[in-house]
Amino acid sequence: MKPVSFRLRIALLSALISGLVLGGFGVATWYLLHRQKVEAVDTEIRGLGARHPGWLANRGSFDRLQSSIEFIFGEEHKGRILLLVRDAQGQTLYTSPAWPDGLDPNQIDCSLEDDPAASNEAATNPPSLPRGPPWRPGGGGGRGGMGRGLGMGGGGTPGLFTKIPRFFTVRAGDSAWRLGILGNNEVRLVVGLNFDQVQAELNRMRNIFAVTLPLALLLVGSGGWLVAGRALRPLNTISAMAEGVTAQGLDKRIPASGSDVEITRLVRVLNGMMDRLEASFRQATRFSADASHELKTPLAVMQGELENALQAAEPGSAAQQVFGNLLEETQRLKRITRGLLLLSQADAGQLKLAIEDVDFSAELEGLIEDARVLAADSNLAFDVRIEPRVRVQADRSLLQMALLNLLSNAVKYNEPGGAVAVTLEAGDAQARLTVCNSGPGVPPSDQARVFERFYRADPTRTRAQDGLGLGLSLAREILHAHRGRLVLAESRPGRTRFEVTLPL
Amino acid sequence: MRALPRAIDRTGRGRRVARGGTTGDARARARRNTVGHFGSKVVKVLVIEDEKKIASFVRKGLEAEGFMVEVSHHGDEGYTLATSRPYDVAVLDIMLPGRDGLSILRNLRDRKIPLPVILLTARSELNERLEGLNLGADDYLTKPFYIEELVARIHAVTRRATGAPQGILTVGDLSMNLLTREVKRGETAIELTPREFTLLEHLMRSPGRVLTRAQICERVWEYDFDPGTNLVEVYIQRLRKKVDAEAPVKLIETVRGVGYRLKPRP
Repeated sequence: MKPVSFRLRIALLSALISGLVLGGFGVATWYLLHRQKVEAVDTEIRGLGARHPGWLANRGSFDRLQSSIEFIFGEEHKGRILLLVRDAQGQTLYTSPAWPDGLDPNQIDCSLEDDPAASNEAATNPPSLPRGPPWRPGGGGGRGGMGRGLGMGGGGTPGLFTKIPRFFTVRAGDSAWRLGILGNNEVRLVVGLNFDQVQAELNRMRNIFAVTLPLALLLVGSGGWLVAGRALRPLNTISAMAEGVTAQGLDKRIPASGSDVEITRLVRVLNGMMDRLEASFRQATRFSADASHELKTPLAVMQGELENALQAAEPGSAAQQVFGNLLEETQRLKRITRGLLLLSQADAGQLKLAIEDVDFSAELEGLIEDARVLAADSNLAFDVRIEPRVRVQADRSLLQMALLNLLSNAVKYNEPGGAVAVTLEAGDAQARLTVCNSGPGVPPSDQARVFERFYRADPTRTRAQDGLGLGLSLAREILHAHRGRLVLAESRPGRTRFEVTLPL
Repeated sequence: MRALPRAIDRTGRGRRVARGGTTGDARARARRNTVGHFGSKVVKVLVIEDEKKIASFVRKGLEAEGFMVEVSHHGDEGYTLATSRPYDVAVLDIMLPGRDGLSILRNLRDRKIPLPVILLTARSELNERLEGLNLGADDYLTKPFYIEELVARIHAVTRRATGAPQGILTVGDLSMNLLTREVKRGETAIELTPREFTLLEHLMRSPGRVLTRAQICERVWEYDFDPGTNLVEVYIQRLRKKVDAEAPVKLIETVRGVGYRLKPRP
């Protein structure tokens, strides 16, 4: 899985959580509001029924009832109140003129349950007639206050309706209606109130919520992003510092500047780890430096004694040949020791360079002359293109060691009749050298390992064929110490190319 | 401390005449007469080196070359010797108990003693090497070194000190001018490539001495790396063609299974 920024994850996660909370909150609010509105409308319907008992007292004047109701609510509410009166036999006695076409009065189920409390009361208290005038003077106003002047009458109207009222919402045409069925044993009154306004209000609320929620989430998300950024800043500092800790800069430590407990602890732990790392690294490099230093004296003694013995021996004698062989082996030991010392110095970032002005081109020409000699047996074709007078600041003998290694490898890992191509060109800021050969190439699985110490392309190869296993890694360290580079640019059967760059 | 090296040297010389130079010892002594002397004078070398085994092979090697050698293992003692007795050259190790090599050198130069000094350094002591040269060391050698190389350096240094001509090497009728880089066999001029010139110079600096291929490689190519001994063989062959092909006496000898040398007494 592709790693995602922790910061981004925190931002997204906080947005998600707030989204869930806000969404849930919104839905709950909307639902409660919806119920409250519906209940208010239902109460209003009850009230209407209770406050205008005329339909019971005066069966003939429903029209007047209707108009008086309209008077209360104002002209604009004309058509917003429906009335339907039906007797116990299901005979419709009155239908208000605004009754919508899409709603069939006969389809309305007017069955109601008996209300035990109401029937008891009705038995003891005969129905009383209106307690007051059905409207208050000047109280109408009709500015859409549906609940106005009606609420007090809501809830119950004991005595009038002995059945439990039933409420439901229907759609007729474009409008939604809230119908309330009230009644006693003789009459059913269906009072309808237009529900559009309530619905519109709820919808508006829903829309507002739908717009503000993403905005809020965006805010929360970016807030989370900022907070996470702030919280992670010490971590970024720590990783930047840790990146600066290389083999050369192992002594670097992360400054414990943060006041946060967690960060301070992390810094302390990391620094402690670095202490141990530095100690063991230093020990390791010191060890090989010390070892190669310690080897020097016995090597010097061996070499000196062998040389003396060689000179004193009978020319061409078996003893002299033995001394000669031993001397050559001493030489090899010396080279390995020297290589190890150089590598350990390079590891510690302390490779000492005796920098001088070096004619890279001339140096290379000389080395190629030697490479041709080495290649004489295998009949290699040399293609040499060297830009003359390319000068670099370098340690001459180390540079020579690195270059010779590349050239002799190009000769060694070649095929009889193969080719070696060497180009040197000076760019703006750096000299670029390529060494190509037509050998069998390094298998792809091993290409990353050619610069490893004591790496051998083929474990079965003999030492004579392979030389030192330190050569390439040493060459690379030497070039690094010169602020240059050595890479295996390509390697396939028939073509292996090493590239060297050195700053001019 | 070695007692009376000069006496031993004399004895050796006498014996060479008597025994006709057939043994290894005799061969060494034979060279001693030609190499370890400058003119008629025996070159006296003071070696200050605390590592006893190194000092020992240096002494053996230099004595075999006919030098008169005295060894000191301590810096202070070495300094006293250097100031109190006449030496032709001092070989100084840098790391010493008591006074270190650089201090000895500094003190010598402070007292205006012009004793030629060759420093022995470890390769890692780059700064000390430079400091030594600045203090007035005449040359330096990096450990581990070949006796043959030390001998060549001592010769160069003593020649310089006595003002003798340094620029010409001669072995038999072969001569080499190090300044003009002219090489002559008899009256015939020989053209050499830079590598061939260095190789021949190296052989001519140690006539009669067997040099192994690796040794030649290290000195001539200055490679801290084994490019294969093949390289040396090819160059020796080239050199032979130019130096020996036309001449009745072949100077460059192959020592079978060991290396090469220049015929000591052509």
